[in-house]
Amino acid sequence: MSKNILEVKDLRTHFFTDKGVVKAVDGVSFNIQAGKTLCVVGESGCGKSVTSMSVMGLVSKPGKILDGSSITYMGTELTKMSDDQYRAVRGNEISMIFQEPMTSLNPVFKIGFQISEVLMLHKDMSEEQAHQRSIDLLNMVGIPRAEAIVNEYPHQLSGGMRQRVMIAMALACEPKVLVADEPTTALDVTIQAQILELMNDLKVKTNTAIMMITHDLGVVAEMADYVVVMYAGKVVEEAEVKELYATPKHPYTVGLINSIPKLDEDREVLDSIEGSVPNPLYLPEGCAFAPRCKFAVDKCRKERPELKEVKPGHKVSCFVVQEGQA
Amino acid sequence: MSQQPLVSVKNLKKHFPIKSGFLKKTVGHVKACDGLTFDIMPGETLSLVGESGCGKSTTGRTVLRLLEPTEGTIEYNGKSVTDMNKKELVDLRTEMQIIFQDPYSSLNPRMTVGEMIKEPLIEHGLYKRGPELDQRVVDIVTMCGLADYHVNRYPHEFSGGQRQRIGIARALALEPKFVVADEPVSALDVSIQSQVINLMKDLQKEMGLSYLFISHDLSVVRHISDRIGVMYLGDLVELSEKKEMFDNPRHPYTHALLSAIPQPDPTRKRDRVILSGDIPSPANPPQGCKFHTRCPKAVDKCKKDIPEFRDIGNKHFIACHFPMGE
Repeated sequence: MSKNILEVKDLRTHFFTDKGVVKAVDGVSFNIQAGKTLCVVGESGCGKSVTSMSVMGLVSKPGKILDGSSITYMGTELTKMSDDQYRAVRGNEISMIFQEPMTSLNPVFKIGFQISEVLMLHKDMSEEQAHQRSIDLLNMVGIPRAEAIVNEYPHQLSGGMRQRVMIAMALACEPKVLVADEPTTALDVTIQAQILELMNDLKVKTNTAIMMITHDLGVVAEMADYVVVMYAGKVVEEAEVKELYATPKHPYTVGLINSIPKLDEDREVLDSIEGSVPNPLYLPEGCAFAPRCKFAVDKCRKERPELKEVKPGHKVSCFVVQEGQA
Repeated sequence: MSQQPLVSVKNLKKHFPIKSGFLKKTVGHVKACDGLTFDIMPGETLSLVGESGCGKSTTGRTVLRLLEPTEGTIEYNGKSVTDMNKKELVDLRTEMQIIFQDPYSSLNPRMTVGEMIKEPLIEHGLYKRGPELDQRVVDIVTMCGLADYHVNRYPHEFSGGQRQRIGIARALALEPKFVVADEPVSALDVSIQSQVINLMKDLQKEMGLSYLFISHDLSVVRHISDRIGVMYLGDLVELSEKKEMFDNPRHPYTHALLSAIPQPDPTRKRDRVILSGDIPSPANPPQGCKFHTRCPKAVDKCKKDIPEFRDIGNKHFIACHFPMGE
């Protein structure tokens, strides 16, 4: 087994709001290896984006990463770093692609400058070198007329092109870890197919570890090596991608997979999960999924299940599954 | 077919002028919808699919005359909608309704759910304020899967899925015959999405509704439609019954669109057609077949001649010189 590039252990990111403590991420652990893709899946509000923000050190008040949480990058603890130290890592060793290519580029700077800036800051390149490298990067992500595009502004590009620019920028310093937060959600399917293919190619070429956040189980099936399913701030199930799709264990994962309309089968009624995600301010006692779960027993409503291995490499946090009643 | 279509659209065009300069001279047109012809039968669901900017929403709105068509005719139950005056159009609104995409911005935040649903009933003179109306509102709300005590609440108190149910309740309050659903589930999480789709299908059976269902998501469309129309840059490029469309897509664009959808099955290897480039600007569409710039099969003829929208048998229509499988 290859070495872990990024290790997250017992990550707890809570938001201290006026109304109470929101436990957005509550005890999440996972590892990522070089050249592998880890996908974090879940519905809105399950804490997947906060997880990625925590890894990037971008959690700001009233959010706080609690003591006892640990995020290590190649053996270095990130949570203890000062802002200055973090800045040297972020964008350089670990970088991020955001969901909204429309809003995450600065509209008043040229594309070329926005990419060069990263290179000049982290790699001490001269303006000229950085400019040349920017053109190379744009070529690498498949942007036609890269020499002209460096002198254009974000509004002159389409959504797919902007996302390519974001990827070029994220890869500028050849990071070891790439965090991608819903990188294709805002894009059309044909463009999404282009971007996913590009990311898979680049992963092979540069041996980057990718942590991908998404709600789309179709995208997961295409990209992931390893999958973490989150619900209400906790990991409910994790496994290798083939294992997870072949034998999903947790009732939530099963529900999610069954509720996707599939292209190659006809069903009269789609399976759905009753109810909706609980308010993170008032999480139920016991298993957070119990109120929506068909298999819930009394124990589920009182105690919180732990994440346990039920099969080598396949972990589930569900009493019913662990005790073999499902 | 002996049955009379409920809605019949012929050569529908909607062009938006582009104005520029001090005198606001018209310098060109965005041809959002450029000569569409289709029928919708009573009780049928016709879906329009396509990528952003293909004109599917414009079509939906123009059919209801929320936008004035530039050219072409729309008939509803044999009556010409295009020639109606304001009064007639208002009366028609009791039979034609729309469900909007964004359940967050399409509900008035200052009105309670009850008020929102009552308004059209009173406005159209179907009910007077009183216990009878209150009962009617409760009936509609419970039919759409909400509880009776919800009528006194405001939109912000609901989750996305519940809000979409309110949107549906409001549209169906008048017992319309024809509903345009403009991306009704794209803002929702998968588990909620399937709840809403199931609800829409149930209501269709109960009330004998016809839907014009607009979506970019082919897997959702597969689930709800009887027939599907694929749009590209303001044109219908393919129209056929659902099964035929998925088993035997003939237009290269439909083919690419279908293959681009990530499937929730990691073991499957598919021949994926990845389209290069973006959708051209609808203000300046390519000559000849509008798809030729991205089409893997394009030849010289495609650059010059506009393909005719023709019947290739089996109720399958297509606009392509060289359909797949020939």
